[in-house]
Amino acid sequence: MPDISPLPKLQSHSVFHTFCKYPQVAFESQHEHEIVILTLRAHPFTQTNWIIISIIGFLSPFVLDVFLVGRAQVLVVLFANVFWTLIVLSFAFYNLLRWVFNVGIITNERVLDVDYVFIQKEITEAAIYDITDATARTTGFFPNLFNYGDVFVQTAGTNENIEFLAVPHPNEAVGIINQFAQATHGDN
Amino acid sequence: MLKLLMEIIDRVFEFIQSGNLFVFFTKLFGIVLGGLYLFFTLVMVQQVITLKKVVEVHDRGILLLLSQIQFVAAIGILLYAVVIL
Repeated sequence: MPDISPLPKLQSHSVFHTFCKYPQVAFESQHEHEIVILTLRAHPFTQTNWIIISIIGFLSPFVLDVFLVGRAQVLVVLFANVFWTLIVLSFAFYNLLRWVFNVGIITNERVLDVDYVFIQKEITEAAIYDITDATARTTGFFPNLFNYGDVFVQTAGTNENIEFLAVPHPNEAVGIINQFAQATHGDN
Repeated sequence: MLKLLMEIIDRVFEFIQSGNLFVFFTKLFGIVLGGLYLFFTLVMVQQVITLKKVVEVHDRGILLLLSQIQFVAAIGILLYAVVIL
């Protein structure tokens, strides 16, 4: 594999580790000389929904208990509170996992999209020389405010296209992907 | 064997007729919920182990620890439902 590194190999992390250049991460099917150039996760702002829902869910027993105390047995109320709290914590934990493990990986050989939904894991990959074009799309008020958007990676032939949704600095990510794709095309 | 079965049925009927139906169903509800939650947390632990093999996330084992804490809590809530509720 020829060395196609148009970028200086400086490790950097930004936006809560959602946009990491040359991160020292490894993945399951990584080849021996494969270097991870960029990892992408959804922008932290897109995670506010479940965080707010979790906080409300966590606080709601304090309000509901006012109506339950005296009407239901203490042991039953205690069970309901503990169980509800555990459900809320599990909900938050599941969403945290979804955020952490929905990751886009760009290496010097290929582009991978790891998607995780409960009991379902999907890994889509495309060789870097198969990439014909990468485009960024930023639409909406908050995406423009916080600088995040979708990245679409088009591949040649019947290979599946790859998309990274709501990732920070989409234009920079597209720039890096296109740079590597063009460098590979130049070598061939 | 048949005698034992009849005794169990008698006790169940005795319990139902004693007016503790609400307590019985509360307990049953708690056990079912606790069991489902236990199954869910077990799946989550396995998922975390699998996902950590797919991508290295440098979490220092916190995610696995959190999933295991949930599993222990699920055992606790199931025991609560069985013994105390």
